[in-house]
Amino acid sequence: MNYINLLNYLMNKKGENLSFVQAVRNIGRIRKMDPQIKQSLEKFLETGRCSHTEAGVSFTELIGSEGMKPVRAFLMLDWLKREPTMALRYMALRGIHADLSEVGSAKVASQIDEENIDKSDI
Amino acid sequence: MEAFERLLLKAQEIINSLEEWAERSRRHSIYVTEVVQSTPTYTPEAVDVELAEELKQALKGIVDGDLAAHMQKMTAEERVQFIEQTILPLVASKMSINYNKLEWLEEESRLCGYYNRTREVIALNMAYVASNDYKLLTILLNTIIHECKHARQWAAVEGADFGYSQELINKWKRNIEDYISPRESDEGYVKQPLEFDATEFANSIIDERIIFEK
Repeated sequence: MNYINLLNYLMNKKGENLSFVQAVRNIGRIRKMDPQIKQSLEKFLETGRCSHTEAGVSFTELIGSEGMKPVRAFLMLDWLKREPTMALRYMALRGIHADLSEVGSAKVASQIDEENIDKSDI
Repeated sequence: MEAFERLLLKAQEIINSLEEWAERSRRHSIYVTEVVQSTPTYTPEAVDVELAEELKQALKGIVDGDLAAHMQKMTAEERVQFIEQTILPLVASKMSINYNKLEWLEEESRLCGYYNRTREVIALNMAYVASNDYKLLTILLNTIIHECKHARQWAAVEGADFGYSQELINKWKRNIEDYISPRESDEGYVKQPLEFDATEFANSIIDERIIFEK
C-alpha cells in the first residue's frame, strides 16, 4: 500500500476531504484492516473501481444506497468480515437510534422553532 | 526587551495550546482504537437487572402479552395516545428520569427518536406509529427504553444516585468526553459504552432483534 498516495487521497477535496489529523487517524485504522480489503482499497485508489463484497454487502451498495464515503465503506467491509453478525445487525438498524453527537435538526410535527433545538440530543 | 518578552510569552501560549490539542487528539484516537478493538459483552449491574425485571412486569401489567401486537389493533391516534399517556410515563417513572414533554417528529430519515437532555424532551418519529407494522412498533417501543436509558446514564454521570458503581459511571463519563459518532467509526459507535449499554438494556426488555426473524 502506498501510504503517501492514500494520505493525498484522504486530504484531497475530490477524495475524502479530511484534515491532516483525521487522515492520519484513518491511515492508522486502514493499516489494521484485513489484507484482502486493503488490497481492494489499493485497487480502488488506482482505478476508482471496487467489486469487493463481504457477508453479502458490496462496496457499491455501501457508497450507493447507504451513502458512505469510500474509506468508511472499506472500514465497514472490514468489520463485516470480522464480525458479520454484529455488523449486519448494525446495518439493518443504522440511523434508527439517535447519534448523541448529531441529532437536533429533526423536524418536529408541531412545527416548533427549529432554531431552539440545540445539539444536546442523545 | 519588554516587547520581546511579551512575544516569547505569546509563543509559549501558542505552544501550550498546540500541545493541549495534540494531546486531546491523541487521547481520542487511542480511545477510538480501544473501543473498536474491544469485544463488549453485556453484563448489567444488579441495579439494571432489577430495573429490567421491574419494567417487564410493569409493561406486563398494562398488557399481558405482546405489547407491539396489542398496539397493532389500535388506530394511529390511539397509538399516539397510548404512548403519550401510558407507555412513556410508565417507563420514565420506573427508570426515574425526568422529561418535560414528548414531541412527535416528522422525520424523513429512519431516525426513530431521541432524548434532548437540555430541554428534557423525548422525541419520536410519527412514521413509527402511523403504521400498524409489528416490526416498526417493536422498534418504537425499544427506542423509548433506549432513549430513556441515555437519559438515565446522563443523570447518573451528573450525580443522580441510582446505585451504579463508580467504575461504570467513570466509563460513561469517559465516553461522553470522547463520544464516537458513526461518521467517525460505525464499529466504534456500536461498541462504545453508552450506546452498547442503552442498546442491550432496551433489548433485554423489548428485543428489536425480532426484525431479523421471519
